Amino acid sequence: MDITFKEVDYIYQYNTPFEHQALHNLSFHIPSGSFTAIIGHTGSGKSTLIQHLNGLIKPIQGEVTIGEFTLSSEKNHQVKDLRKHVGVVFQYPEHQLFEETVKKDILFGPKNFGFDLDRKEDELADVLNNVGLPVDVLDRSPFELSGGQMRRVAIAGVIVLEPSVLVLDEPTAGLDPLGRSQMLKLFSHLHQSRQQTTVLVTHHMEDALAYADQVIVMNQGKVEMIGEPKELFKKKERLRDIGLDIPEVFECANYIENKLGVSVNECQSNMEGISQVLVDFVKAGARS
Amino acid sequence: MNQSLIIGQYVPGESFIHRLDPRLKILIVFIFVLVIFSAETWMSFMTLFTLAIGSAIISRISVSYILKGLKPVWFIIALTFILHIFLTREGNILYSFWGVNLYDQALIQGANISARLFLLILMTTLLTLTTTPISITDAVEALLKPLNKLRFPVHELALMMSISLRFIPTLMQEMDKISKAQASRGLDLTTGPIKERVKAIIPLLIPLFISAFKRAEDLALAMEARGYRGGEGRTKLRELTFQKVDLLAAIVFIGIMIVFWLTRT
Repeated sequence: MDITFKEVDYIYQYNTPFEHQALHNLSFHIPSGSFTAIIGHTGSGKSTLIQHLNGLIKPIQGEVTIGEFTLSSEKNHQVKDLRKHVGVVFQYPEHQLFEETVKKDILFGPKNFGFDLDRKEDELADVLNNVGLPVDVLDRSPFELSGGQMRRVAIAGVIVLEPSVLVLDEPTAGLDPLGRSQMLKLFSHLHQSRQQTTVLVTHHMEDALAYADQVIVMNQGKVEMIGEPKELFKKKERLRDIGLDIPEVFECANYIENKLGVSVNECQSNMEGISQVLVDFVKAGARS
Repeated sequence: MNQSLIIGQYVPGESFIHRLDPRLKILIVFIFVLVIFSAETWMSFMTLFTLAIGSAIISRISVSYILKGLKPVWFIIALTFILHIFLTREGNILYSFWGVNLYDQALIQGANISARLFLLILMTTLLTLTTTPISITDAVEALLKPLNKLRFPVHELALMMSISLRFIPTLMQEMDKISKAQASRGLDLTTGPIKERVKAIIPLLIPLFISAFKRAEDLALAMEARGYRGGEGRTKLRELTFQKVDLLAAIVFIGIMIVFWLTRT
């Protein structure tokens, strides 16, 4: 589903002495089927932004359009329907587990949205396989599992709904490096196999570069930059100014360019490309 | 959810009321609350209202904010008023319809009780609005100190109080987060029959309790790691001092109380 923000303002604790504006005049477009990464400093409005995507909060000004749903400051009665189509995995999703068994917890969403439970139950093995859990956890209590496994259960509870838009708020926070790359591969796989629109909030520029086809950079409640990751990460100075780093490969390519005087073009901005440039350089140097 | 209820919240400010010694503020509120229930006459209520509304104005917290924050309380006040009108059967009948009599005493009693409730809540809310939770606990500890001689665990009580006050906002945030996560999984708290709605609280409460227990454990560990060992010989970062403004406030309050005493009956 296409997602469009049109001049969205959001203010926390509106009309109280604690008023705090989190989003300023936000406008952007996320095409259907794309993989979009949202990056930005802590407090830049990322989490506020994603809560608009399934109607948890409503814009105070402006309009959010998700597929055929429109959210504005007025009351909307289709919110539950919208939530069926937009799955959100929050930060530390393992905190939302509550059922006696993993199976019941995963089926909590399908039950609420009125899915065919028998059919969903048959799909459980598939879903567990997707998130990398063995089938025998189904009848165990989620609270017996390790932190990483709990998170997988929580994620399974969202993807079992087969949403057309999957929103991920720093799904890899607190995981070890292996767990992180597994988790991201899972989301990338789901994105490709289900054609679902994926929105990933992250602090890791590497992840944005590796998986996203569009990056939105947030700063102080505004869209600072938007574009393809490779184009965007060239603007090193501007990213630095708002306290963000560029991915290590770009850092490395810049360093090689400065030291050796060779140019690394953009399609070579990955590990293979850089090593190829180095190999060529060394070989050329050996010949002369 | 936490936008409609302001009881227990602190609004930072620099007003006269904000700067008063918290011990004095607690004493004043305590006496005020006791005294409310002996008010009978029109004049005595006027005195109390003057004091309460006067302090609210001096505190420079916007009136609309206070009134809006008391929204849930209006309901209770209205309910007690209505109950009194129907259940009191004294005095002269003012009006009667469908066999239900309206007594003049009922009106007076209802108004009395509602006014008392309103004053009670206004003053206590004002106390928490203008005093940080830390100062309140410090003040409670200082005021209860004499009980130490009776082996009453004053410091532990104050510590328990400050910990619970400290964690109210944290738990509120946690609750907000969990309810959003469950709402995203289709949990519906606002529609449907009552039975279903009560059931819908379970997915919120269980995660909340689990995280609260985890937090308590972490806090206990952290306190132990930093060598906490109770109140004996502990010094304070902020000592409470009784200043000239406090004396002034105390004199004004005593003055008002004398006026109240004279007009009470």
